[in-house]
Amino acid sequence: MSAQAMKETLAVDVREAQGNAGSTCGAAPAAAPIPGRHHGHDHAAASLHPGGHHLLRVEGLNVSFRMYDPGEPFFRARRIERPVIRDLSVSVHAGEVMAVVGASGSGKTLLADAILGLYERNVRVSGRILFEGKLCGPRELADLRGHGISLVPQSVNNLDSLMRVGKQIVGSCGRGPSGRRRRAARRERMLKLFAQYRLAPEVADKYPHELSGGMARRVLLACALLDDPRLIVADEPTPGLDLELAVRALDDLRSFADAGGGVLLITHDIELALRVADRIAVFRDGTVVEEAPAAAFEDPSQLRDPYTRALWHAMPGHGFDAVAFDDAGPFDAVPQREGSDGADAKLSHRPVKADHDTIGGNA
Amino acid sequence: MSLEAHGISFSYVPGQPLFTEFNLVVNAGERVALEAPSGAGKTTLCRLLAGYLEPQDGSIAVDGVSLNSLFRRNRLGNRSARRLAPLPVQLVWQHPEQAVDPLMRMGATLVEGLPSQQGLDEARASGLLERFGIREEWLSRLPHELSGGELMRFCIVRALLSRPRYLICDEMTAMLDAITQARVWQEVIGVAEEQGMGLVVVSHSPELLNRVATRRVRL
Repeated sequence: MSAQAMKETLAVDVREAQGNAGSTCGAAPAAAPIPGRHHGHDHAAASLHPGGHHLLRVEGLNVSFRMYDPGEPFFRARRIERPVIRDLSVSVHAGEVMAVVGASGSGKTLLADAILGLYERNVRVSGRILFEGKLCGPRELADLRGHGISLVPQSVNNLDSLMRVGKQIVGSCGRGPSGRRRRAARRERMLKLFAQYRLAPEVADKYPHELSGGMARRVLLACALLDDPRLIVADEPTPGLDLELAVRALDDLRSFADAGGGVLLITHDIELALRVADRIAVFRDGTVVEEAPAAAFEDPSQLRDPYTRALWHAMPGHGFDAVAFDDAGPFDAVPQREGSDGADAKLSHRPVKADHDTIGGNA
Repeated sequence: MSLEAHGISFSYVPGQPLFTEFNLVVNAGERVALEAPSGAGKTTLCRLLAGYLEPQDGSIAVDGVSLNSLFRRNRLGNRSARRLAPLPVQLVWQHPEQAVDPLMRMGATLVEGLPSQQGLDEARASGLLERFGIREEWLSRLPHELSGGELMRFCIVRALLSRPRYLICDEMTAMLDAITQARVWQEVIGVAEEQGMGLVVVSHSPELLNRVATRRVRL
């Protein structure tokens, strides 16, 4: 992204942040889909603002790690701050699947962690995260985890291999009569979800290694859905599945969105993302370079960012071109921007970098 | 000049064979796509062709010499050598992070397949490092310090350095983004055409197979 384009996006964001400081996000008339560009992104037909706000809105998110300089000799290395996510803004509407598409190893999972309020000890996070129009700090995000926002994790290894699946889905319910009532209710809900997602009731008594890849995916989804979330964050839900199973896994997410929930789908596979998503956010070098409705990917001239266009042309269904989208070429697409192109000067418009326990505190 | 499987059968559970009497011929310079639903044994067939598994019935031959006798010849001929000579069939595994030694530097991993002592110099001279965008500083890193896509490029170059006559690509680019995928395939197909190498390609994406394969085989 050129410095000019960077300044433009920043300018838009800063204006919005000021405009929204007092009220809930956006002055959108409730329930009316707004075609075209609006508060920094394009809309798909299905994108709604029930209650006049986004389901999830992330504004100007920065994530960086404090670490010892890996370029220095071991004993002389000083602490440096390595930014991984820079000034990222993304939003999810109720009833839509929003796909964040980017290269592997580019920090997409950190976005999921930031939204779920899962922070490493040496991480610094700043920016604003609004869930249903309310500004959330790390404590609020931790409270929302499993009570509004649920994660479908990347790997089937996230299941406990020594515990029967049903027990894992129901989770701990406490002891005594109230615990028993709670457990029975959750078990009943689990069986309802099983029926909905084509799992046999016997699956509850199996161990994870007895499940096929596609069944394990649905079990993970059932885990997430049991808490009746309004937003699902799905982190790479498809690798290791063949096309048919991957499409089915994504269809399950789609049906959740059609029932009024929101899905943030994090993936590297743009072909699969285009099958289910309403909108696509293209993630590169730690930020979202373009948020576009999936329909825009039918025609590359509707895509604004050069990287997005390169991505379009590289898809096997289109050109399969390995175009060098800038001087560095695709293999050198490593963020090397520290203080180089004037972006840092502009960054001072953002809220001052804060430790993770003050995220959202500068509203 | 071909990689041939004659009437091979394989089963993990006795009585439930994945395939029986399966025949496949891959000619030099050809790119064959294997198509089958999940769980039908695509990866198993890849491992059989590359000699990681042995068929319970039938035989696999590389340019007229059976895989079995190649193994035996390697062992007898290099009794004193610390490493066996690489087979002319190389497999690029689906998950690169599971195909490298987590405690070995990437430079050593890269030349694992080369019998000579001057492995790294040979690797640099081959020009493959530049073609696949492998940077000099990555050679001293450990696998966990590289991303999945970078590791995959190491695995491809590791396989190509032994100058195989047949390369088996099992979901080689499923983990990569579209741009890296296109670039990797461009280079692999380039090398294959230069050296007259035969490819076996497994992928979940029909569009990718349309681009890459010259022929399709149903399992």
